[in-house]
Amino acid sequence: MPPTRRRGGSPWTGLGAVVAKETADYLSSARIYILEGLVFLTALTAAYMAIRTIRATIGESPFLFLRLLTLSQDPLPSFIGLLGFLIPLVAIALAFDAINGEFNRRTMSRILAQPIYRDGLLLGKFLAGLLALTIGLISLWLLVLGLGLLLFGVPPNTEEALRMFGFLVATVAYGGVWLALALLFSVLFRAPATAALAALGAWLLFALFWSMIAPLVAGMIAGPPEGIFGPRLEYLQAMQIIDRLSPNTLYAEAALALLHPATRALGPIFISQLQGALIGAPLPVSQSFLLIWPQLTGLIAGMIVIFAIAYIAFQRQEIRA
Amino acid sequence: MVRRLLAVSVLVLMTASAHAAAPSSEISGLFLTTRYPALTVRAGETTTLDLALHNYKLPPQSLMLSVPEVAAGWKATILGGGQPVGAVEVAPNNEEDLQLRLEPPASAAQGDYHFTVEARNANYDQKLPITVTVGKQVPARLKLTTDFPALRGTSSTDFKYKVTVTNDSGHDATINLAANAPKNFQVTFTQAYETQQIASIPIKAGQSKDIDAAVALPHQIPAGTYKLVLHAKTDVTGADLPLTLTVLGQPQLAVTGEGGRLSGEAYAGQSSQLTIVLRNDGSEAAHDVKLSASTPEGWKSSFDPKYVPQIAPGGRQSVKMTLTPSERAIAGDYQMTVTGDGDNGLTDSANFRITVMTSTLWGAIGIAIIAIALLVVVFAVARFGRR
Repeated sequence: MPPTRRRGGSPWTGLGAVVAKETADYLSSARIYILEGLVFLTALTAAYMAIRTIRATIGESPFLFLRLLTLSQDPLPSFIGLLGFLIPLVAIALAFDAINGEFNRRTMSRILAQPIYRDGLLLGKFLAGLLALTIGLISLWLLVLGLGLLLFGVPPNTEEALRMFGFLVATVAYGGVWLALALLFSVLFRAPATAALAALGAWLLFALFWSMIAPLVAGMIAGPPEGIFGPRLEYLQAMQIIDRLSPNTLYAEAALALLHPATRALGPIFISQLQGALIGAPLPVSQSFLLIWPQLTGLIAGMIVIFAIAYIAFQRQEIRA
Repeated sequence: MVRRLLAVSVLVLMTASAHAAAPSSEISGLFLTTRYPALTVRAGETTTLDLALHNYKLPPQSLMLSVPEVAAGWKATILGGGQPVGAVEVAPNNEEDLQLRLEPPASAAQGDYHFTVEARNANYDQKLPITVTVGKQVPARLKLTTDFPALRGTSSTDFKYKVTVTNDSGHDATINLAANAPKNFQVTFTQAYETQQIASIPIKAGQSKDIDAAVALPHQIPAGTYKLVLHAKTDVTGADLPLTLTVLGQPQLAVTGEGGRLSGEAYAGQSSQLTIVLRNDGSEAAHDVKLSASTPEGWKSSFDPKYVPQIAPGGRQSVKMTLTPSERAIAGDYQMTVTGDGDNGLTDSANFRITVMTSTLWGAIGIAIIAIALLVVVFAVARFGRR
């Protein structure tokens, strides 16, 4: 097929039908019951333990609801820690067989025989996964909010609500990155097991090993971490850049800045910048959003870019198998 | 007025004077005594004399009490334990305190009046003659003195006059203290070296006591010389002590924000305006007030005007401050101190909390990155799409 051939029609044709069908499939599948059950159980337990600690120890704090999400109580990690760990798993489980599953069930050519472009199919599957993930996250978010209302007896103030909403958006974007990655692997590998393994490998890499890899790579690029006058800025900056290639780091930083209002910077800062600064004073919510804006946009842009790669790969694939 | 004379038993012996010097262990018998059998009172004044009935080495004696001789028109009552009594019983080697209250008629003229008090039973008969002279008495007199009648200071000084009150009259007296001071001056009296405020002070006849008169000035008092008079008063007499107090004018500087607001916002690397208010709360003009700011490193600040030549008492002056946080200031709250320095060591400072905002430029760049990512997708759709 010559690439200069004019292509007609809208790429959105059939998108709605695919999204509706796939979302319905996702939401009624046993897979999502198990995953959501796992996430709900652990996250709610973490939130409940946090509430108990807060009620026992903290009398008054302007950000009670935020503490609910960030307080960790042994042996459980905090709510955001759990989400950062489990969301990729859910996203991978939703999308690792999205495309290659169709090949294996030999339904791909049947679907594409309908007036649906490949564009619509891939985007539809991605949006359906994102929708299912978002529905689950919103219900979890509301559950935690409700639990907090019930057990604290006070409503969150506007600032808290805005921060928690920003946190929800960041979580969805983070899930989207992993969803797009799993989708990419499902396009690249015909065997769902291979795709799942590849995605899980990436998850393990970023969740567990990235914090070990980043200093190594930074050392190779920028030299030793310590100079004559203490820590070297070049090394710190290189390490931060490498660290931020991981979606987990971006998400953790975004959650930190949003849910800890006293966070004023996310990188190395100079003593001179801290002179006269009132440590511990909360930032206005707009400034916190500005602080995490690169992280948030990085997550969203990363999601789009990975989807674009998956899209190009899918479009160039031979599907008449 | 009822005047009490303290009861000290003095023997009035019917026997020879040689016996008076003898130790009391050798005396025996019953004795009715008083301290001052002849005394002078003022006309119309009720007098109370202290009597004592002594029993030396006799069995308990019950005696009838009476006043057989009373000057014409006078009313005499014998009191025991505060009540009129007609008889008294005295235990061996003991004494009973009694009082004789003498009420003169309203028309009692000057002269001597004679009374006799009698204590009597079957075996003993004790008579005590008393002479009361109505006439001139030692005039009651009070004296108020101080070493330093004129004090000087500023409106925030604690003014304290050391005053000596002397009771020069023949009686113990309770002296009421008061002061005539300009409006809103508050004068309080304390005994010297004590803290409790007093309204009156008892002073024995012929003695004196030191008191402190502290003057609290109203906050907003114009400079000048003020006069006040201290009064010491009993029911019959009084004394005045004129004092002067010189208040010197004093400027008092206060640095604050507009409407008392000590916070502001500024964007990192961009100048912003802040209004500083200089206020003179004192009673004299403040001169040559210069403003300075101590800001975090790398911040720039300037004032317009840099220098305020004069602020009238009670006046205020707004100064525009231009503040530029460092380019590298991180978002959040910083603290800086604005200090105003006037002449004669006049100074005040205020801490301002500046919320540093970072520019939204990075936000736009983030949007641009997302837009580029979307453009990639659009390009991919255009290049590879719709198969």
